[in-house]
Amino acid sequence: MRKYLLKRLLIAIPVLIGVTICSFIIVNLAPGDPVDMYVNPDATLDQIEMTRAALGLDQPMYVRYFKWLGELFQGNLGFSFATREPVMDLLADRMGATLLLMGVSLVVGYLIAIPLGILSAVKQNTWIDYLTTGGSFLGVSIPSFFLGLGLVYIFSLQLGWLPTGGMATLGGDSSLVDQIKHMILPVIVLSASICGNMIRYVRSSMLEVLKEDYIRTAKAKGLKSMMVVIKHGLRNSLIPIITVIGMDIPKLIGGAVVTEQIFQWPGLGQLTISSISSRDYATLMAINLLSAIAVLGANMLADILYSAADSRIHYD
Amino acid sequence: MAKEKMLAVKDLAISFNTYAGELHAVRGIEFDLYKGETLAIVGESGSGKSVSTKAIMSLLPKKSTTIHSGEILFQDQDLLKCTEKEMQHIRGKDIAMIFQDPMTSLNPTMTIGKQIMEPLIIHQNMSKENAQARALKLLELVGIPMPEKRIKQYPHQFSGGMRQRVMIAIALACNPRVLIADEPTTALDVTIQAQIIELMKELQVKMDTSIIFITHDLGVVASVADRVAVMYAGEIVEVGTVDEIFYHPQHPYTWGLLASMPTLEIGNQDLYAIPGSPPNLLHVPNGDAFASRNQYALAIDFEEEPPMFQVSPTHYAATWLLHPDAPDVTPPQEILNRWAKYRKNEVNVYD
Ligand SMILES: Nc1ncnc2c1ncn2[C@@H]1O[C@H](COP(=O)(O)OP(=O)(O)O)[C@@H](O)[C@H]1O
Ligand SMILES: [Mg+2]
Repeated sequence: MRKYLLKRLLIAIPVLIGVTICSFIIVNLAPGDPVDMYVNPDATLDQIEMTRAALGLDQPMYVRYFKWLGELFQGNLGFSFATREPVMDLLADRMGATLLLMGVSLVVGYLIAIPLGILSAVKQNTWIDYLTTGGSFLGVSIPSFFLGLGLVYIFSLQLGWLPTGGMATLGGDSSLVDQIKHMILPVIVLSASICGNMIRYVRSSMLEVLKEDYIRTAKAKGLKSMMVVIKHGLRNSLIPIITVIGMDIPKLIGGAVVTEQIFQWPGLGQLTISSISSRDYATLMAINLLSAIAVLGANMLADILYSAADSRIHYD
Repeated sequence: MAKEKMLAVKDLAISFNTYAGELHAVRGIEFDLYKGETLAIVGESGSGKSVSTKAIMSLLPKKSTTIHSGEILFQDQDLLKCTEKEMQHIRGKDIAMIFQDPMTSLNPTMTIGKQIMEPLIIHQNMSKENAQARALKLLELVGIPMPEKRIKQYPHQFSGGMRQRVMIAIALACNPRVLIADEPTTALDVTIQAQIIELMKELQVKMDTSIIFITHDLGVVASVADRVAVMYAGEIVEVGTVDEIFYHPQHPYTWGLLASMPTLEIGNQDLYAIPGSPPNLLHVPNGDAFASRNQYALAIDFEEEPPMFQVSPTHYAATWLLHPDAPDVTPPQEILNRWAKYRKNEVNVYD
């Protein structure tokens, strides 16, 4: 297992370098010149060239890439074009907000989805099942901007119960209650799709498992139906569910661009949008790299979880 | 043979609601199971063996199953009238079951120790420690070496034969009165098959359990059963002691089954095969369901179902050939020849 993970880590390095090459090319080929963003409209040609040189954009793309890579190996992500801050600080600043929002949304989503998915499978083809499956489709397919704006309209504008956005009331007491109030709406929006997606996987996985011979054995032992499902069904239906968790976790980092934008949540998603519109190549590259690391890390975590859930799964 | 009845199945008829229509899987079967005996149920696949025994355990899918008639009497109660909760107290405790495929019948993510302890904990309120001690004894009893080590292992670390031993340990954990074994050796190779059968016979004597042994293999029947019920298209067509079924079979279907049985001497070459295939249980034909495959069929076979004719106090068969007015027929010479060979060899084929 340890050897396997080490091997995976070593393979991850060239993969990550490949990802950075691709994203470097894409970011640089995107229309728009960053220099335009950072000079006065009436700047002279000289001034423009100076800014270009200051941003390091006067060199050919491959030179810039290798410079960037060299800095990266020294643990340096460069400086943001937009704010001149070190990109590292910028990310660290935003990461906490995103991790908090996504972490809570994942946990809430799963806590609702897993029992509902199981219930739906056990009560297959009853109104409970239809209601749950219908709800999960709604959760997956409703666009987050629509749900987000709808919730803001009802709960913030009409009822005035909850704030429209941000992480805390400006100049407020920044109490826990205040923070929670700010989180409720974005968490609902994000967990709706996480939960809807998860319900469908849990349900179908559980339905498969319930057909297995060992479930019949468990019934033949005289176990109560609920115990059959929980003691014998759940663990075995976990494997495909772990895959979904592995796909959900990178969202922790990538953030939910749209949701963060709607609720002005100061996380990575919002940073992504602002970096794109200000052609802040350095920050964009760092965010891409971070997302790629998150995907690879989540895959490895899923592998570890597989072998924990099922002793038949071994890596060497 | 002790005559205390453990289980009495009366006029049991079961059908399934399928997309294609109503499938009559079991069509009025009757049998008794006596204390300490082994009753074998034989028949081609699809003849309703599993469905009949699942009905005893109430393991049929509730939604699609209709039980049209019947009683399953166990200790003076009709199991068909029991609630799910009452059945949970009977399953695994008074009536236990082992299944055909030991590779898939054990939970892959639970240690076999836990799987054996489960019925002890739910039915006998044993503490974990006691259940574990008993599980170790059970593993020893079913002939698994190094039980202390094995008890912590998962099913994938066991061979097919060893897994079936584990299944037997689970089934026997609470000393059930009745053990239903649904083709317990079909998925195993011949040597292992013989070992498992030996084990079951040995444990039956020790525990005085009654066994219903389902198989489609008559060779196995000869070595395990006291009595045999032959099933065809959802009905029992002949029932009798092993000797009666092997040496004085009355039903042409039983003749066919016996003639198609491979032995060590004849091997698999040139085996007799019953012509045709079993009837579609969605549209059961009038008369005797076997008539269209039966070279001895009489005109009446196509019109009216034969009743059970008594041959001896323990031997019954449902064929019009037993009617006093029926012509005398003997099985064809080819089949008789095979029999002569079986009779010489039978006892030492599988023993
Ligand atoms: N749950 C079910 N739904 C519909 N048909 C079934 C079901 N279980 C068994 N059957 C049908 O009932 C018939 C008898 O099956 P079974 O008792 O399993 O045969 P076998 O004698 O091989 O054990 C078969 O035709 C089978 O297809
Ligand atoms: Mg069967």
